[in-house]
Amino acid sequence: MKNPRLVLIEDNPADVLLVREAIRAHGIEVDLVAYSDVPDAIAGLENSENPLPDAVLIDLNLPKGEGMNVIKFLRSSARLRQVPLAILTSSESPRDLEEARSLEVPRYIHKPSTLNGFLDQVGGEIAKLLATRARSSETGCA
Amino acid sequence: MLTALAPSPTERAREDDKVRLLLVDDSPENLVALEAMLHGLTDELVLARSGKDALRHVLDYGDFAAILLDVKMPDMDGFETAEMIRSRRQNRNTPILFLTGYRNDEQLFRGYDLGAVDFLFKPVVPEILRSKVSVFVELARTNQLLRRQAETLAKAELKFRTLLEAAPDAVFITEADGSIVLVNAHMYNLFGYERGEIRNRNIRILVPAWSFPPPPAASAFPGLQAVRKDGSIFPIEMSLSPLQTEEGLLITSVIRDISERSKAEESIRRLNAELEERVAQRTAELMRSNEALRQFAWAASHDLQEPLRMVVAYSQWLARDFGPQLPETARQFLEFIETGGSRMNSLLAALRDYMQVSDSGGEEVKRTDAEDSLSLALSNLQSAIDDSGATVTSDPLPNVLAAPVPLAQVFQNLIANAIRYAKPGEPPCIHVSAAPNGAECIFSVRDNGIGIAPEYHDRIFGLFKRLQGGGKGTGIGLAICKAAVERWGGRIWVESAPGAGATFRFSAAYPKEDR
Repeated sequence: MKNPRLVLIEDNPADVLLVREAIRAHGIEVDLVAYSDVPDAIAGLENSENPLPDAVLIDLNLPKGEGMNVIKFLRSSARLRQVPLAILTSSESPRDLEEARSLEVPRYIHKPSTLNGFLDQVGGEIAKLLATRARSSETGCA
Repeated sequence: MLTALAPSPTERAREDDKVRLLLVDDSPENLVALEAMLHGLTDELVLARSGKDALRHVLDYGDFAAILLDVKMPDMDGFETAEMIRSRRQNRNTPILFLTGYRNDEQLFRGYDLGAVDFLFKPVVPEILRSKVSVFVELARTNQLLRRQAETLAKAELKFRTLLEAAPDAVFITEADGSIVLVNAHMYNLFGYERGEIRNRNIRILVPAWSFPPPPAASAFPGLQAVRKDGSIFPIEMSLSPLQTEEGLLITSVIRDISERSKAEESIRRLNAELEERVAQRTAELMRSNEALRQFAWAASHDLQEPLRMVVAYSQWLARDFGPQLPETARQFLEFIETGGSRMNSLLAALRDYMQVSDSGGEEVKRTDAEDSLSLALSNLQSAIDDSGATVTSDPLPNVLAAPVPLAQVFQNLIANAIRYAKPGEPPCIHVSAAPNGAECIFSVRDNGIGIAPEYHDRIFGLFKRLQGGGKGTGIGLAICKAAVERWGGRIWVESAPGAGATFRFSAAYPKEDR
């Protein structure tokens, strides 16, 4: 059986590495695809030759455009609308939080500032996110 | 020409104001006798041996209270002398008493024609002479007094005139109905009327609102206007004063043109308005730059957190995965990096808290149940209270005008401080109470901790002010309390001494409905 596919949109390579470590530490079997800016991410997700992601993890603070634009793109695409989505951010701005709520993004993962905190929380959230996908696809099969 | 330089004799005579008698007789013995008889009656006796002598004295002294003139003299007799004296305008009324040795009716008539007031017959009886002459001396004295009074009056009149004319204001003297009796020179400058045009007319032509007595509100009329001859209107100030005279009630109206002052007042008003506008502009600029600074601080405190997270996470990762391979000192350095980063993290978090509390656009000030805020604070502090074994007690707390979350933050920070600065080996005992102070409530948070020396009582409320090293606290907690309390217009202070615990107090107004 093929590994689930997780798309990570994150410009900071150090954070990409931390996410990989969190996945590893939680023993999650996943293929991680990372994009580092908004146009790359949208192009990659739009390309129907690429397999449908099982979950998308997105940082809001991105170069060349807002992370929110990627979320809007995902919401507007029939193919991608059902893909589970979580925001991964260090932003505490009430404005970002409010906008995430308005886009009905249920998971808002705050990046903890210690290594163990990050590995625990981010790894746990990713496991939950993939579980959501598993449950929804199961119900889809039934 | 010399007389023009020195005072003339007549002027001298008038000036010294002495009452004099002129005695004229060609016989020195007679003169001596007359002098003896009249001694002490007047200020001065002037003696003449002939008509010519007499004339010279008359020219010299000007006037005499009386002249005693011997009729029978060589060269110029008494009558001729009298005629010459009388021909002078100044001496037309000078009383002349003739001395004669015999009674002769023809002579008497001639004498009276020449203005004689009396005849004295030789031998002269001293008492008669004295009594007759003293009448004229008294008369002269009375005349002199009258003349002096007249001079004084003339001087006073001149003074009044000068004063009236020199006054910087227009002065009108009117009857009670406003008919103009007298005006001063300034009136013409002010109103443009000639003197003749205005006399006997009514002052209301010039000042329509003039009335006597003036309106009861004030003796001066505010906002008063006057009309010039050319019909133009100008602002004035007027004061009235009544004067009861023999000719009836006279009103003195003093009118001042206040156009210049009104202009000056107007320009002051304009300057003030400009100043206010400039202050408003400056205030707006300051608020803008304040807001920009706040946004900058907010952004910086967030953006600094990102790279800091890398420092902390990666120094921890490095220690975790490669620690065993590193020498002991390198591991210690890594620990220092991580400790410093963590501390900076908590400082940034506290700074964000501070900005949130001090943000004027934050939670509004409203009726707040202090009990609820304290409960929230205690639940946030539960683990710290449990860990330290602290006892926190409280009296019933009232409703106040505050913001619920910042009020909870104040309680939380004060109680956290009380726990943090407890005496070693002694569990913290903390009591929260409230007491009214007029329209405001004073909250108190009392502890049994290490206390604070008086010299630090103000400083501790500043940003990043910590009295002790050792990583306890961020140095922002009390600054947050101060910012929060000031948002609802309250004050915060501490009462403490080293070793004697501390009582932090802060104020908040009671809501109107709870007073």
